[in-house]
Amino acid sequence: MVLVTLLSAWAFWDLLGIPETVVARAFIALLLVGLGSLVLGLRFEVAGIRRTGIALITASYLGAHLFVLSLDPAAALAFVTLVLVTVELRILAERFAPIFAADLDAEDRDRLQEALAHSLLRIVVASAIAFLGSYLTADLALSGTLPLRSIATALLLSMGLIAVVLLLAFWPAVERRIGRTREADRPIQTPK
Amino acid sequence: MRTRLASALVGGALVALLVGLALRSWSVVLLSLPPLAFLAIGALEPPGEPRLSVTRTLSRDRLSVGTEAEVRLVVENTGAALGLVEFLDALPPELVLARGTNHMIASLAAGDRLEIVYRVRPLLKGDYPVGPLRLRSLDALGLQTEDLLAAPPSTIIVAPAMEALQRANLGPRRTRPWFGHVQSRQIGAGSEFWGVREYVSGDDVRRINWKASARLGGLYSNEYQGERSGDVIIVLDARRESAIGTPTDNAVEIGVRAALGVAEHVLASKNRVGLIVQRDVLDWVPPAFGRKQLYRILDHLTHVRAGGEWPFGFVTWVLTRYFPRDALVVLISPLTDRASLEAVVSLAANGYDVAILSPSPLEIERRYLRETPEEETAYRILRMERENLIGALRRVAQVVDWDPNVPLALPLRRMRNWSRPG
Repeated sequence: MVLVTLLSAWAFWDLLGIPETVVARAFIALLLVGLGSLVLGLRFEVAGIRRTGIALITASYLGAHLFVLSLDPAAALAFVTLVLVTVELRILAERFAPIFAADLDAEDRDRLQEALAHSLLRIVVASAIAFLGSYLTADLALSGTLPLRSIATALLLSMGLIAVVLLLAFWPAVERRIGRTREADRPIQTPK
Repeated sequence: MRTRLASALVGGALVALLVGLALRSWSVVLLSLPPLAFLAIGALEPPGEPRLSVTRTLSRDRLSVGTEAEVRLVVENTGAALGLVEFLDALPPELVLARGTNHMIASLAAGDRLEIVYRVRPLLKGDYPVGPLRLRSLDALGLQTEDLLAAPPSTIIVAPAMEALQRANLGPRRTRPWFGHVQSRQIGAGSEFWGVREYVSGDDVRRINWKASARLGGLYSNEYQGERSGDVIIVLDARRESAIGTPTDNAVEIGVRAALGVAEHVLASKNRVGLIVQRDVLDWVPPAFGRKQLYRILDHLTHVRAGGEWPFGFVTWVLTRYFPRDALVVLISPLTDRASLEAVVSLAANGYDVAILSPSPLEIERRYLRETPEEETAYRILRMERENLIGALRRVAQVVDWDPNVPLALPLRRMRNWSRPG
């Protein structure tokens, strides 16, 4: 809730900076629809509406910066990382809260807290790398260490990025297929 | 299996990348990196394929409504270490958790052992599966999962609670030739004095009435009223329209409790008991004696679910063809329709003694209603209609109008005998 409030306040504050009233109103309306969806989704526990709410808040912030205001890379990276952390924490809360609410003995509670701490640590590490890694990449690129300004390198870089995204998208399916092939290659073992 | 979050991250990264390229804005392309970083970190530690040995033990596999049973799951990791595993031992809604939890998340190193212990309390009679154990191996960022079903379901049989009917006045009026506890109005073995007759060779010495012998100048023996047993047929109305109330507290469930109490009480008095249940099918247990018969009846009652819309006339048909005629028929019904009147008249006309135990549907519904003047008026009108029907039934049968808020033994103790009225 704190993170969602922070994100909404951040987006709202930036939207107030739009000089044209009509455009500002349109983006504020988008933000309010997003907030409304989020509240409805939380109230009636409908995950789809809640996700739409988060997406609309993000869209209002990024849209306003992309088309009206200028996009500050550091701020935008921080905003996107915060959105991702919010989503991750929500998933974690949904997974752990019902178990914590149950009548648990001390040993079970310790085990659960350990698992929760493990997950939280991963989220903190992932968000730090997501923000700092991206920021440092941009910094490195702009400092001119690599010749990024030519058309050929821009095309190569784009293709490389697309390849990475596609690989991540299809990796689980590829992995499963490889696993199945390995299983099929194994000789049938006779029971002892 | 990839989760929706992973797909959303891939989608978001692709959108940022394509929009950035279209707008020729490096800062928008840069926004595709955070989702990619999350995906990359998630891919570093994918959820392992769970290889676990799971054993489930139940403290009891037969229990009655309201009592508790302990379920103990012992999970042993026989494969590689698992970062995060979610366990859920599936429970039907009729079994509620009394203590502990059937849902757990834990990290399991190779060879680690985990015990999940919880207690369940059944709300309703029946056969219920406990399990299977659903396992989900997760990565820490919730991007991929591996699902597994382990430990096949165990079955818990939940018997209905029994109405306590100690000292209740309930038994057959007409007897059969077998020894029992019912006064038979015939001379035989028993404890109730019948009369005195002249001594016959072979009479037990303890039966000689010495006072009468001294007064009349010869040997005289006492005669006793023979105690025999009779037949009781319990007819349980479990039609859909009779299930008034909630799924756990309705006239059929209350009727089942009463039927079990009556069966136990009557069998304990050495009588034969049979059962007919009118639900979506008409099933019955032929009359018999003893503990085994009680278990047969209990087994039938455990599986009774309200259903079917058979008219009452079918019960009369089954009774007259498959059950002895000189039995006491105990009809357990909330008497929601007037068709029951015709059925009872028909049974009485066929020579059966009929007793009706009627859990009042009005009192059951009243528990769940607010007390408003309108509802009070409606209650009074329905009450009058019910009294009218019961009045008509009392001309041919003994009727106990039972408020389920009080134990059944109380109204039964008020009944003097179960002879036919009139």
